[in-house]
Parts: sequence; C-alpha cells; structure tokens
Amino acid sequence: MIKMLQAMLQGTGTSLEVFFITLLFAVPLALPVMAGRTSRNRILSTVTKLFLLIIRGTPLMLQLLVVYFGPSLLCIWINRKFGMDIRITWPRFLAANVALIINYAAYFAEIYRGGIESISPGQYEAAKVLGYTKDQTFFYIILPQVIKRIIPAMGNEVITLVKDTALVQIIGVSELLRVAQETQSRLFSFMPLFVAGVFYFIMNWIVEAVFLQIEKKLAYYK
Amino acid sequence: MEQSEEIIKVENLSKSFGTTDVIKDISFSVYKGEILGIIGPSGSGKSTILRCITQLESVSGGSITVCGKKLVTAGIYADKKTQRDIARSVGLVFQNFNLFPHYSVLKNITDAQIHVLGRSKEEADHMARQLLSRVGLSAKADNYPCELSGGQQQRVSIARALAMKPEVLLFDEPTSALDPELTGEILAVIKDLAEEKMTMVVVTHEMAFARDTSNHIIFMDGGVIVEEGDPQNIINNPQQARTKAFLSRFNA
Repeated sequence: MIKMLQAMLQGTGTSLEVFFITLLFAVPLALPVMAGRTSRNRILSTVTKLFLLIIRGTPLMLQLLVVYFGPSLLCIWINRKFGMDIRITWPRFLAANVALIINYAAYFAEIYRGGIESISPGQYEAAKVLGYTKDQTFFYIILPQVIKRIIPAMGNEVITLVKDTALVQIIGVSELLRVAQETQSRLFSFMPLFVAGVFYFIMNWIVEAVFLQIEKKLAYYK
Repeated sequence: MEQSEEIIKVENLSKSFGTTDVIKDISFSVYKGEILGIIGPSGSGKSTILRCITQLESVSGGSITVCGKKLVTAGIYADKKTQRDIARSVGLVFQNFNLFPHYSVLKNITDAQIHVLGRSKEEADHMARQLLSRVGLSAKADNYPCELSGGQQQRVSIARALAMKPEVLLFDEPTSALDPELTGEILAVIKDLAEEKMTMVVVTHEMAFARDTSNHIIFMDGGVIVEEGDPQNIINNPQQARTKAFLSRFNA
C-alpha cells in the first residue's frame, strides 16, 4: 500500500513538473502568438492563423506523437534521400513539454486576443488625449483590465491542463495516470485508479481556489 | 476679442470617411478665454471636428493651428514631436467619460500627471485633491469610477483633463449620457470654468446652456457651418431656414 502510494506520488511529481513548465512558458509565449494573429502584416497574420487552426484543430495526443517522433522520422527520410547518417532522438520529458507548451500557447493567445478586443476604444482614446505613449497605454491602462477579464477563461484552460498532463504517457512519460494503470494491473486492484482520480481532483481544487482568490482580488472594480 | 490670442485656428478643414464627406471646408477660430459653442443635428460633423483637433482622427485636408503651432498645414501633419506638444495643450472631455475603471478616482487624475508630465506623486496628489474639491468630489477620492453616478464620473473626467493644465478644453456632448437631473451639475462646473476664463469649445445639445454660457456659436449641418455669431441672436433669432427648423423644437 505504502509502496503504491510512493510510486503514485512520484507520478504526481512528474505531472506537476509538466504542468508548471507548460504554464511557465505558454503564458508568455502566447503574447507574441497573439501579436502575430492581430498583426496588420498580412503574411504574419495568415501564418499565425494557419498555426492556430492546425494546433486547435488536431488532437493534442497526435501533436505529442509528432513532436516526439517527428525529428527521428525526418532524419530517416533525409538519410535515405541523401545517404547520410544523422540521428536525432530527444528526451521524452522534453518533447512532452514542448508539445504542451505549443498547444497551450495557441489557446492562451486566443484568450488574450478576446480580452484585448473587449476593451472599449474609448480607453485608448482617453489615454491618447492625456498624452500616454503607446507602451504606457498598453501596460498601465489596457493590460490590467485585460487580465481581469481573461481570468475566468484562463482558469478553465489551466484546469484542463492539469488533466491533459495525463496524455504525455502516450510518448512514455511516467506521469500519474500511467503509474496508476501499471500499479492497477500489477496489484489487480481498482484502488490505484481511484487514488489517481482523487489526486487530480485535489490538484484542480487547488487551481480553482487560486483562481477564485485572484478573481476576488480583482473584484474591487467593474 | 480681436486683440486676443488665437488658441485654435481651423482653416478649410475637411474630413471624409471613405466616400462620405463628414466635414466640408470649415474654418473658425477660438480666442483665449473664449467659449465656443457648437450646435447642430446628430451626424453634422460637430464631434468629428473635436476629434480632428485632438488627433483622434486625421484630417483629409485643411489646416489646424493650436497656440501658434501648426498641427496640420494644408493636409500635411507636423512631425511627431510637434504633434505630441500640441496634444498636451488640448484637453478633451468625452460623452462617455472614459474614466479608467481599474484606477481610483484620485489615481485617474494623478496617473497621467506622473507618467506624462513627470510630476512628483506629491505634486500630482495635491493638484488632484484641489481639482476634486473644485468639482465637489473631495469625499470620493478613494472610490472607484463604478461606485459613482454618471454626473460624478463626468466631473472626475473634467478634473482629469484639467490636471494636465491644457490651454483649451474641448467638450464632446458632455451631458448627452446623463439624465436631466445630472446634466445640471456638469453645466455648473463648465460655467464655473467659464468664470475663470478657461478657453473652451463645447459641442452640446443644451441650447439654453449654449446661449447663456458661450461667447460665440456655430450651427452646423451636413458638414458645413450654416450660421454663426452671437449666441443670443443665433438661438433666439436665427436667420437661415435650416437653423430655424432645428431650433424650432427648442424655442417653443
């Protein structure tokens, strides 16, 4: 029993690492993605739109497989074509994070865009007439209001991210659910799966509490 | 007023959105200490004039000079630095207030002073509190805009504009979003400013106010000045048929 819990806590550790690394990189990376999407440069915005369409239009599990196996398959193709001998394999854990970061940056970028477009033009006009520069307008006037507006949508995504970390087992990362499944078939007991469910639930409970706290903090104005 | 300094000079201004001409070849001047009232039906181009002077819209043709500095000469804009300089001497009060909802009333008034004019926090605070007491809202300094009535919000936005010490203050239908009871408190603030010889341009639908407070009135329709002159004459005794028709509803 204790051994089972130990193994599952280790799996939970891996899940949490994937979760935090994804969040840490996807949150800022989504900003340039959003900038590309809303850019007046036709080529840039079209490329970004295509990127968003592909990322949001295909299963995350497929993206994990492509990111992990893609480079080595590409090498085999190049080697055959040009008679070379390149080999690239990269760590599963890294590949898992890269795939999740790309996927979540796409979703976050669209949430940011929605937030920014919901700010009334009057806010920009008032700032301009008062003499704020464009940067000042964005960081002092627009961004704080955007953050407040996107918090509920971001909460949704972050909760989904906790559960999506379970998908990285497809490329062999031993996260919580995979450990639970292995333990289940070894012990022939339903218990590990139940415990995994409780673990996910607790993680999301915490996520929700954190977001509620942020919402409360920002509730001082409408 | 002839000897007085010209604060705003608009010459042959035109503005079109696509193929629609909103302003057609308009010229007028505003002198120091003067209050210009602009009246006319919706869509006549009144607000667009203010938006051109405050650089929220770019003109299609003509010239605008503010405090002797050329903003646009025959449709060609001055360099960015001059544009910014000119923007600082012009204040604008919006129909919908456009206060910053995430800032307290006090911070709405101090923030631009600190970040744009580079005043110290103490200086900005002092100025803001002075202005708040002037518009009768000293008690609301720590409230947020959403906790104020429309009339109070508009008074804060006037204080916010005044804090930048503009040479001229423009009002874009400052009472149109307010119910008649709240309209009075805004008009009182503007009258108070008029007594201190603040130069102002007021686009308004309040005819009695325009008549009693302004020194000069422009009646616009279809992007042109139909009639202008002494407020009493224009409102009480209009000459042009279009002006008569428009004012007939107010002079009942």
